[in-house]
Amino acid sequence: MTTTIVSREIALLRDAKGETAEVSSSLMDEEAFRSFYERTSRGLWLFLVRVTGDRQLADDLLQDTYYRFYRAGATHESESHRRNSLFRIATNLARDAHRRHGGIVSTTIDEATGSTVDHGMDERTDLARAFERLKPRQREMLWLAYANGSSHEEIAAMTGVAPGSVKGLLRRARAKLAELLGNGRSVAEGGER
Amino acid sequence: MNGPICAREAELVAALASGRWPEAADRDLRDHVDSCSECSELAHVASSIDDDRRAVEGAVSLPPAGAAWWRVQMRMERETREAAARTVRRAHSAIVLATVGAVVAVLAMTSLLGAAWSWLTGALPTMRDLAALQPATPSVTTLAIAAVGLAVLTPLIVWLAVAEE
Repeated sequence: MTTTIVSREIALLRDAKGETAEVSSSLMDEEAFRSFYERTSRGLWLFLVRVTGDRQLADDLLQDTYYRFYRAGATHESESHRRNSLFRIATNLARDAHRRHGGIVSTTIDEATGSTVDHGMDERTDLARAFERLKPRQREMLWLAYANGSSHEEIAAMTGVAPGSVKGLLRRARAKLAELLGNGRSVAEGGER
Repeated sequence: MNGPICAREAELVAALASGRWPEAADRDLRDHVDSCSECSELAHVASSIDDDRRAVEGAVSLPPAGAAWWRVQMRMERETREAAARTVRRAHSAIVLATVGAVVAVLAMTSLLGAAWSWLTGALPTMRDLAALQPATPSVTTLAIAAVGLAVLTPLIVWLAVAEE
């Protein structure tokens, strides 16, 4: 009942803004949303964790991503398009967060003790440290390609990079990561930010 | 890193994506990767990322789908209420503006017409007699013009305020 009322109010608001009523009528119903969430949330969360380097931030962005995806009410011709759209929203939110924080925020200072607090990367793997030295777009592309198994076309759709540029950018990102992984000392103690 | 792309890269990518790499991959491909720096780098990076994904995946603790749905609905409802409240506030502002505008218009027109009437009655002696005969004429005219001004200005101001949204 609440859902129906909310959907109707949103439809009225969108009409008032000049948007089409068809968009609001395409809002997912609860069953479709739950099913889509079950299928995608794990992969999306992992993506956000590695791209932001912060589990707490990844949790927040995950919620925000699903909210924006639902609110957009866009229709997609396939599951793949829907998924690309979801990751595109997440990518944009992660970039916004990166701009706000000025980089990966994986540690903060505890006000009470003055000690460094890890926000959530329980196990600081070599890869996590190496990822911190990469640019956000490089992190996104590498994770999508080798953890998600996304094609170049999908990566382009998810990141907003021109399809023709994906291969070259991915190659450079891969070389950079290989360099960072191959030199643990420089990764741990400093490097490109 | 701008050298030629290895012809067997796609084969390696397929093996990685299907989980065949390295144990279940062809012996020939494994030998090639050992000798090709490009493919070796790809295999190293992709395996590292995949290993990391598996490690982090074990610690995933996500809110259930029902909770995610509920949060989305609550946020939608809150934003809908906020948007409605904003619209009401803007409508109130428009009405106040229209009222103030109408009052100012009436006062200005009354004052202007009064001055004009005084000038006319002073300039033309014959008009003074007419004024003496019909003392109520200026105020009726003023009220009529003010009413017309009000009728035109109010919807115009309201329309302008709403059109901004």
